[in-house]
Amino acid sequence: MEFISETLLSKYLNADFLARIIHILLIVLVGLFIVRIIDIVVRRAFIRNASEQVRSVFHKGINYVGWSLIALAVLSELGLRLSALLGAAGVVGIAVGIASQKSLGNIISGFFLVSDKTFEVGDVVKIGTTSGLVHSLDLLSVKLRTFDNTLIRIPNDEIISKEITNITRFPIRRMDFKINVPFQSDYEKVKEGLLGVARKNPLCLDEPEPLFLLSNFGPSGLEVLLGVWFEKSNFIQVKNSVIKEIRDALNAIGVELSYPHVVLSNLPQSLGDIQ
Amino acid sequence: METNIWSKKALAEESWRRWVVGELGLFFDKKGAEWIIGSYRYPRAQERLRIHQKCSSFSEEDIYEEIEWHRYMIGQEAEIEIVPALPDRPLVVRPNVRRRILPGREAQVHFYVPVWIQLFSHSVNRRVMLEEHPSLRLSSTWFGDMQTGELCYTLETVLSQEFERSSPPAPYYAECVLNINNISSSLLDFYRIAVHVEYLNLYLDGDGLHTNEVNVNFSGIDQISQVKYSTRGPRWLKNPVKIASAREVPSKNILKRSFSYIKHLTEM
Repeated sequence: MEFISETLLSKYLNADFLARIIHILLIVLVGLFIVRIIDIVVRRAFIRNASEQVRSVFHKGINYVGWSLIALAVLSELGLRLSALLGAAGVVGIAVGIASQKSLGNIISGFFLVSDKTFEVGDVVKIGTTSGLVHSLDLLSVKLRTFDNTLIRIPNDEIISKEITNITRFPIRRMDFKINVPFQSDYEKVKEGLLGVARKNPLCLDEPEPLFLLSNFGPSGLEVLLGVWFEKSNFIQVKNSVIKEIRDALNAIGVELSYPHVVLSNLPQSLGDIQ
Repeated sequence: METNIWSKKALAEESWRRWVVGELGLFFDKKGAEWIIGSYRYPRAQERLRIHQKCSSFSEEDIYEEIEWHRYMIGQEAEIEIVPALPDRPLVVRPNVRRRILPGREAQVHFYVPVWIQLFSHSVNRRVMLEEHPSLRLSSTWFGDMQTGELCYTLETVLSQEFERSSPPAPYYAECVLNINNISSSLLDFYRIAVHVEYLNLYLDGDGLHTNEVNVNFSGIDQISQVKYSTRGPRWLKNPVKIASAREVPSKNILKRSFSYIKHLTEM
């Protein structure tokens, strides 16, 4: 027992071993410091005005590469032959690559998504049938925060093949209201009333001008479309106020909103009349 | 009744004050270390500034519920400063009468901008803005195309020439002078212009408010116009006092597409 402990002590508590440990610690500390400095310099000097996800990609890229180099330096210091290690890593890499094609596809799709700039962190988007605020754009997936405050993760390679609608890309939007009015309504009065709603509502923009369109003959009346332009952040206020004001404006001109209905006529007095 | 509103006002303990500026009604009370400030939008604008002296009870009980109240823990400071400011977005000025400026000709026109009201406290030797409100609510509009345009307020107004200069419609309007120089070879059909009022200072001369002069060189239809904002008050004022600084510092020359000929951006 005594012999074993003496052997261990002589092996690990000698000056050479301690010097190596200190050397490794120095490599790690100095390496981490340099990675941090490079990260800060790149963020402040080169990508200060870039979007959130570009900054995130650079931050992650610098850190991953930096940490890998530090790990290689430490392994080299421990006496491992890097050429053999890299060779082994290559073989392992191919094996892992074959096994994780899906993940690689996600990573490549992620780069396309970032370079495509269809959306950025903070945008409100609709991907397929899912709508929400872009929470993060990561290496493998995009995370959306839905309006009822749940987090949805969508893999990048799924997004790349789906239709993406960026709802908040432009500062202003148009909101369309489809209204059914009875066939016998006074068209000019309806037009004036509805455009008056857009003109009087302080949340609706003067220009682009509001749109009034008699869109179709519906089953229960004329289908009318009122399109109002608004600042994207006022979506809910515009929706609530304009719907109420449309109802009030139509009431004021004596036009009722039409709804699907069936007109029944009096039946003939006797069945004999039908025959 | 006081008429000079642009100054520091003392708030007395446990007594209400009401100031009416345009459509805006402001209500003040001080209770110990707390200031209570209410804002209300009247359906019609007042032509004159109205400052009601303190009264011991709140006199407009009928609108009390609709007033937006804010409470500030200020300390023993008893003075509130009321300062005019220009709107926080550019204005799209639409003259009630369209004018045409011939190539090579210069025109000077002026119009009046309803100011915003900013409230400041001077607590602990620091000037802190408590809140700001427009004296008149202007409608919003978009100016330019969807990619490069900007959100503005609309100001439908009378554009007067120098010899037509008249007094402002109310004391809460600031006069803005526009020098338009048509350096293009085409007729300038002038029916609206975007003026970046957030780059303008406000000057007080007597009771009137004025902004810096704006100089526009029109280079052609849908060309970039050169806009320069002068650094001092109007030349003809004798003793202008700068009462409010610009919200943003303009670069010396701002190239902006000031005139717009895009009438219908609405698309199906």
